[in-house]
Amino acid sequence: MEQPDAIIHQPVRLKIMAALKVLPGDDMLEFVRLKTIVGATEGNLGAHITTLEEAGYAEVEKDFVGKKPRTRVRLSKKGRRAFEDYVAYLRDIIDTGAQP
Amino acid sequence: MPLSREQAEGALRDITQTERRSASAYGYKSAAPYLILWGILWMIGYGATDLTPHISGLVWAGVCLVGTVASALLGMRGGGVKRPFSWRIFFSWIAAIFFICAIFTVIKPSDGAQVGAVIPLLVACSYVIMGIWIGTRLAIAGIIIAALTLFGFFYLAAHFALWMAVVGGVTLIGTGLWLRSV
Repeated sequence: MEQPDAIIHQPVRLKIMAALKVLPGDDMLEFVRLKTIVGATEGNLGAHITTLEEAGYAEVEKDFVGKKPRTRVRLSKKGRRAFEDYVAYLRDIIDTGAQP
Repeated sequence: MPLSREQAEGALRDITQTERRSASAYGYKSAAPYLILWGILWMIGYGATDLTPHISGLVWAGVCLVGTVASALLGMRGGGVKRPFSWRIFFSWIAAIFFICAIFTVIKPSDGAQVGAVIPLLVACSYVIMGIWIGTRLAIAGIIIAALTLFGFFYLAAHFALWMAVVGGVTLIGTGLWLRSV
């Protein structure tokens, strides 16, 4: 990878991807919990999740618990692969000591 | 533009910190319903031991059975996705119950209070160890349960079962609610 993946490289999206990466299997993270972990505002987080969803990196499910709406997010297989590639890219830079 | 080494190190640091926070939050969320469930069962078991000691063995057998099956059912709902019946969780509880029984068979406790104290101490130990790996809140819960158990055993021997029913049960339920709020 010559250039970093522009979708993942953005700091908030990078944190979203990292937070979702640790979930086992098909488990999902609730939007409110993700907001706390990432430390983003609701609007900001929503916009970045949409970007990840449009890139095919994240999957979003919306439903109701009682009368309360609930949004849950997980990484797609494509997203998991892209994140692993991005981390490998970072490690490669550190290992080879690349400079801009 | 390619990243510099410093930028790459910064990004990896962010990833590691976020993964740690997310793993803790996930662990808390997963553990919370079990703590609430066993807090309720704990109240029933110790409550029965205090009020009707002659049938407490029967009540505890029922509590363990209900807890084991209910824990496995809870495992089917973890992470917000439906899963098949969790045999791993079911057999984990069976294994825990078997080894606790084996320990008592070997050490032969002289009264019920010893049994009633050792089990919460083993539970507390498991929470402290899980807390070391998952997040400090679980470790704090373990330390509180251990402290309350030891206090009740040594200073409130006459009302130990009642102490464990009320204080121990409420602590487990309260900790479960605390973990769920993360």
